[in-house]
Amino acid sequence: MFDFKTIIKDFPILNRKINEKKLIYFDNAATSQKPKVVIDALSNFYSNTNANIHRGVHTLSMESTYLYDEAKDKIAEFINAPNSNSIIFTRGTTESLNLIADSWGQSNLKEPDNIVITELEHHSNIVPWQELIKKTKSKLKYIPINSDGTLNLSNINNIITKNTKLVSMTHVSNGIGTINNIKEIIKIAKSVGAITIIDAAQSAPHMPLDVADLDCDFLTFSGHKMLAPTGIGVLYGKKEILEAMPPYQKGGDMILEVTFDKSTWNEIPFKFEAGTPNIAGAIGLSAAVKYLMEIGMQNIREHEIEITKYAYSNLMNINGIEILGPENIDIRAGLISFNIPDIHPHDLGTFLDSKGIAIRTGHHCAMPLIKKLGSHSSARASFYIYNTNQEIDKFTTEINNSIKYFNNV
Amino acid sequence: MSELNEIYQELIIDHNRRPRNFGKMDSYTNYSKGYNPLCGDEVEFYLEITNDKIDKIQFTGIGCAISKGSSSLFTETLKSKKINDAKHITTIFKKMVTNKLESNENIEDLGDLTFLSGISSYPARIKCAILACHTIESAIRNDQNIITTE
Repeated sequence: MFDFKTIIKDFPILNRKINEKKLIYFDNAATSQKPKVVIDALSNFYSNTNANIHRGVHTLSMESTYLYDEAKDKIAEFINAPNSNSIIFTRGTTESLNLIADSWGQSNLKEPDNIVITELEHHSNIVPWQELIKKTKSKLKYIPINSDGTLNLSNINNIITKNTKLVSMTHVSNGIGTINNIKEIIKIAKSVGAITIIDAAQSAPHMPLDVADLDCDFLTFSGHKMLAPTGIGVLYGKKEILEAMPPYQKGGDMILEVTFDKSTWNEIPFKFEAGTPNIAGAIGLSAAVKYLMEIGMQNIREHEIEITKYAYSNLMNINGIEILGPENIDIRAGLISFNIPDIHPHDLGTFLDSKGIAIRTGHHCAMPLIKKLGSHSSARASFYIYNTNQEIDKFTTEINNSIKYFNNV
Repeated sequence: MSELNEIYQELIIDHNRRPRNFGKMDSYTNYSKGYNPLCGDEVEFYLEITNDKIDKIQFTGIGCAISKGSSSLFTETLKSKKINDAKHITTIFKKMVTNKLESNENIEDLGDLTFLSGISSYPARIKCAILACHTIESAIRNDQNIITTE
């Protein structure tokens, strides 16, 4: 078993003091911190290698191209994709989903088709489809949730029907932490011939992923939530589906031949990467993925299970606390969304910040979900590889202090 | 806890726990609803204005201590004020919490609302303090649109 105790030294920012207290960073579902190997990869690239890719015959360009292409190989290995041509670099999950909606969606949907998503989705997996159905006269349907934040599949055969052309769902809910049984839903979607998208933004950083085993058609995730820089993300797609899709953006690098009259498109993945991509970001993501794979994704999941279980049982001792999402750790990722009676999440967030503890408060870009669960907002603590049970102890103590502070003073 | 007490003044906490003039009004001349889409806070203001004077002002809503405390303090401050004085107070309040007061402007007219001045050093929470203010200005105009902080 990997020793997680030594990990903290890899993250320079964790030495920082916030309001004279040692930083406890529990906002990992929003973005993760970056290890020195990732920061160094960016610095090394700009200090020693920087050049544009896929164009130059000079040494720097060839080295940059090699590093960029190597990053794709690394990502393909990370999610067990059969071919690195299936890996397209985007700005993040949001752009990956918009790419599918614009490119695949506009050329494949029409009346009376429908798209199925779930009530657990982040806004980025709702809004592109709301816009797409207006343009294509198709419909948007939701798989509902139970009160514990798990999907209610009792009526699934009336939701995913022969008119369903696309099923897009989150693997892990960013709002409340539910881990969905995506394999089962992919199977149901396939049985009616629908295309499947997995939003893995909250799972790729935290647990093993295997697109070959899942047999999904698309999978999307963001680098910045898994130790890499912001502005780099991934769209995985099955080769034959990507090949049949029209380009997303048009410009340099995505063309084969341009005349003054017309252009022909380059092969995948270049067809979907118009313009100079985020080369440094891709190299940073590559370093992050190497780092994560050295620890082992199953080890990471087990570490987070331990911390989350500990946090859950500690928090349950707080009088009147309401924890959103499932209790069963097998279907809960490393995040806990909760409300304390008579303390608004924003006030709790400000109080904890004064103790050096960073959490997220609000609706977590999942407004329909939080409303459906009967809340207006919640406080969310989300964990990662560098978090410890000692930090949970401090966190619980400070929540109890906040109750005294706001109710007594 | 000194830095925390700067924004969570005892008076604010008190108004949060026991909001004054809280509850819907059945008859009113002016109304507006405010919403902070970032955090889900909602507030509704009911005013009874006769001869350019605020005779009665109440609010309902859900929000954090800053937002609720600010709403409650506003109702106390604006009750029985002339419309022009109320407009002056909302203008000065916005300048106070965003650190934009001119040297010739003072906050004396704000009464207990000055207890919210510490919020100007918490950029992430200014919207919480200002929601009530925007919503009251809109109610005075009798604006039918929902006011948002975004």
